Amino acid sequence: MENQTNKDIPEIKGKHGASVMYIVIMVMSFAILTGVFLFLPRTKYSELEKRDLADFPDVSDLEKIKKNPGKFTADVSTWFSDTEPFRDEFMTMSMKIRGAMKGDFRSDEETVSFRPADTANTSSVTDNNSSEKGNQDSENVKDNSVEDSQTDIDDENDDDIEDGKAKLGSSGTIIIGKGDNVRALMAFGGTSKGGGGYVDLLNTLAEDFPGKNVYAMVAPLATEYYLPAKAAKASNPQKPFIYSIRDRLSPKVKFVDIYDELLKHKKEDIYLRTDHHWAALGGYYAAKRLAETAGVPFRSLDAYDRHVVKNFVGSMYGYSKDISVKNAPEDFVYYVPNQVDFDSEFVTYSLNKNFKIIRESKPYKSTYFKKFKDGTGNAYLTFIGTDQAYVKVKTSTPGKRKLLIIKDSYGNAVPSNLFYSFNEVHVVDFRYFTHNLKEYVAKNGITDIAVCFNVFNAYSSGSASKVKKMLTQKDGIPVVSESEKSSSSKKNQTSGTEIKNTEPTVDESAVRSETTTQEIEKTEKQEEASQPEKSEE
Amino acid sequence: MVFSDLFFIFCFIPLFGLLYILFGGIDKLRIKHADNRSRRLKRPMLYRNIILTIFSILFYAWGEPIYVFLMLAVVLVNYFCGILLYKKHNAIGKAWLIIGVVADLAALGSFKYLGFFSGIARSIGFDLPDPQIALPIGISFYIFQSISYLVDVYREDSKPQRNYFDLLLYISMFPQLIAGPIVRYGTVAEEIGKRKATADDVADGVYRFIIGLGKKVIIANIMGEIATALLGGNLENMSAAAAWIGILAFSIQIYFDFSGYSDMAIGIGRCVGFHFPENFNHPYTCTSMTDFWRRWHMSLGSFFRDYVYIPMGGNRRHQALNIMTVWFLTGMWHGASWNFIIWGVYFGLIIMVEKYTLLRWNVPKIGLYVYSIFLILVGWGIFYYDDFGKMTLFFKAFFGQNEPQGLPMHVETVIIDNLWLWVAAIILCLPVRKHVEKYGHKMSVHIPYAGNYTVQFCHAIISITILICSVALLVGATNNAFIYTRF
Repeated sequence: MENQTNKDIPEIKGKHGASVMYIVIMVMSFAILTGVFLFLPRTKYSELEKRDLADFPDVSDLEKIKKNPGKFTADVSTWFSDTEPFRDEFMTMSMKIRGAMKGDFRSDEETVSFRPADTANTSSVTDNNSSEKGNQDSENVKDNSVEDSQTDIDDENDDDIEDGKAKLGSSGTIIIGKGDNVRALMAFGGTSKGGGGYVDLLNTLAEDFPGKNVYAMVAPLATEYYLPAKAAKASNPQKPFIYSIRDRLSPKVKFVDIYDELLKHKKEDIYLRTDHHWAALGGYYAAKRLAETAGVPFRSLDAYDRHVVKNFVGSMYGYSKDISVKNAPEDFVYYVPNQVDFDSEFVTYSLNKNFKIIRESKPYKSTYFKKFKDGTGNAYLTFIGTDQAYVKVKTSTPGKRKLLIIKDSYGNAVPSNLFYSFNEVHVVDFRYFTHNLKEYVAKNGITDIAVCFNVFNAYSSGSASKVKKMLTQKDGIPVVSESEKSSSSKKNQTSGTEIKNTEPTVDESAVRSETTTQEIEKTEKQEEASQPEKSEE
Repeated sequence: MVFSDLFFIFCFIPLFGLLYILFGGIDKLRIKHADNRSRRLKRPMLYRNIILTIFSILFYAWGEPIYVFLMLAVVLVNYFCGILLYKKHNAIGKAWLIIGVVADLAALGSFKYLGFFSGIARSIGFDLPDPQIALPIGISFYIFQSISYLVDVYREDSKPQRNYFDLLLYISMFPQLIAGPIVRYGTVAEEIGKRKATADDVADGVYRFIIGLGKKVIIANIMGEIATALLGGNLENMSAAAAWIGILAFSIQIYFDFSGYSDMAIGIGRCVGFHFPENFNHPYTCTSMTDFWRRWHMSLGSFFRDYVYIPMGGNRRHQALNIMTVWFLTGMWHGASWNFIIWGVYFGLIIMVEKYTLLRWNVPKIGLYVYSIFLILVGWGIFYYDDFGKMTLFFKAFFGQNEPQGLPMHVETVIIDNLWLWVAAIILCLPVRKHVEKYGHKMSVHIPYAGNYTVQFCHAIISITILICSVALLVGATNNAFIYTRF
């Protein structure tokens, strides 16, 4: 490209015409692209990144612009390059380009195996795909392994997971496996010292609710069970953290050992490969352990209908920005109890941009399980449909035991497995609740209280302090300042009605509540600065 | 605003292009209807220049709405000094030259180096406040252009510009305003008044621009990600592999970043009829450090050669002093930080030693390549870290002082994940394209018509591919600034 000016060229035949042709072609392509970027409607929300895109900067306040014109121009640029038409399509394309740069000469045989069916059912080693195709929607499944909980697994040192491919994706993700078996994991950056807020919360709950059963439930990330030894450095172990919580809890709190329960079943599909959540099955086993701890009945999967959302690609695609995740869709399987009646009453919240509650709906009946089409990226919202709500489920299970689960998005997969166990199940999200917890518990005759968090939220004291506030807060929506009200976006204002129509909205806040390794480190620093709000945004 | 910003590509450029063409038409009408003695004939580019100047100011003000006035003031001072010192072969002329140059350097000094020097003063005990001045984008480039203008006029290599706006156009011209190449006034003086962009010029310019865009977006940005991932974070016990691959990624990044910018600048210039000097000539194929600096950021090198090294006496007297001064200043120019100064002095020392050793010996070429690449990598190591603690840790790892760790996973990931990019980038550091273009040129000479059309057709396919890939990669890109706009 350098030194290419050819000054002493004789007249070359056709040069002019050829140049003109080139210019015409380029101007046309450029005009098309410019047309796309300037005149097509701009994208407001990125499905892929699960976030609202930048707004055009406010032009009403001229004084503000005059004060800092540089910020205004920068905001315009940001807006322009954040809200391109076809943003998700362009980003998918860019991931494909990045994917094409990959060079991998290692053999295809070298994959990490996760599939329990292959190893557990030693009698018939079946192809993953064909075995799954056999499973129809709403089919009653007999899952042997549920009963077979004695499987001998001594530790999480995965000798059965081959030390195969592993690499780092963007924003604290680790991609392992190959082809259809690709699995995206989140890195955990915490140590056994964290989680003081969670411990304190549980101990406080046990003090404040004498005579009630209080359960601590901490859900590990898939990383704990599937990270190959080779990539061990990429994430901290979660076991020491989870058990250090157990050891610090007061004897009045009952520790539900989800860690151990999942370990027994790690060869089953207890985690989604392409989503940051666990699978419904993971939630099922967590519920099982809770039922055992609580001494309430619990039914095997025989008493459930199995439903499948096919071609599911979850949030980890957007997080890892790795095309291989998109190319490995999985089945999103969930279980609906079929021998118990249950009636769900919802109260949903509308939020403003800063995730503050601005309105709350009247209680209304709706379906607990939302139905999603095959290929829906947020099928995890099957349970309840949103985090911005609390739900009261009355079941036909006799008895006086009434459970309140305070949960993050991991917890969403748990309650529906307890309809055989409790007479009522109340599900409250730790971020959004407008009642005084003590009054709520008393009014509803709650007998059991569980706090089910994943390790991230159990780690961050901000999450725990939100729940602690519920103990003292007054009923009703906290006052939102005028400025916050005015900044509430159109989208969020409509979200309330969408939920009423049982149209699932996007699980933004669930995604945001999760933190990557770096963010955990950040939260640790911020903890002392008492910024509990930070952890969710 | 930067060239690889979607806002620039799809808002600024189309608008500028349309208006420039429109006012080009008006210019032509003016000339057509002018009588022979009309003053209009003297200014055939008037409206186009106005458009170019307005857009340049907008371009700058978009990123620096306040400091744009600093630039206007600097131009004003140089404008008067230039006129006042011209053809005055006495102390007065010299005085105006000195006033102008000192004013330029004062602007540069106070906005770029004041914080640095006050920091030094504080560290040796003076109680000075930290001025907290943000660096105005591109000041290092336009101040040097201003100085070259004054000196060239003083030496009567060029006539002074009698029109403030034309001088403003020279200094502020948006293609080269914020990251060079450093265009000497003499190079473009004539073209400001009268220039022509033929279809060939425009075709070359567009192609060049797109090549530059691809260099920046496809290669430099991704290499930058890799460099940040490997060279940042906790450097305690960094692996040797991370240090080497990381600094290699940075070397590739900085070359494609900066030469990509220069390509885009030269390309836009060509489209409107300017011929800016080349800034790079495949620097990573150099055979010595002396050679490297003849190929890297050539417009800066020649600036120091013509305005510092030769006036100081060149190789005729105290050459060592001259060399060290030039390299000290080169390092200093890159930023108000010790590591840049060390980096400059590092090259100064090597170049001096080279003169009496390597360049006189008969070393096989392959040895020269290895020698050069190694020293360049070490150089970028110094350049990369403005924190001495980190720099030390980096070099500890670089020279294998840490426990051997083989190829850690994160290093393996960045290699395998971007394998084809690495291959392409390393090949493109070699003069491959030059040879391909030469072949294409031959074809266009020997095969009338068809040859040319084939070449341009290939160009079109390459351009569209690069354009689409770049746009896709730019959507969702977060960190996209050019490295050299910092200096």
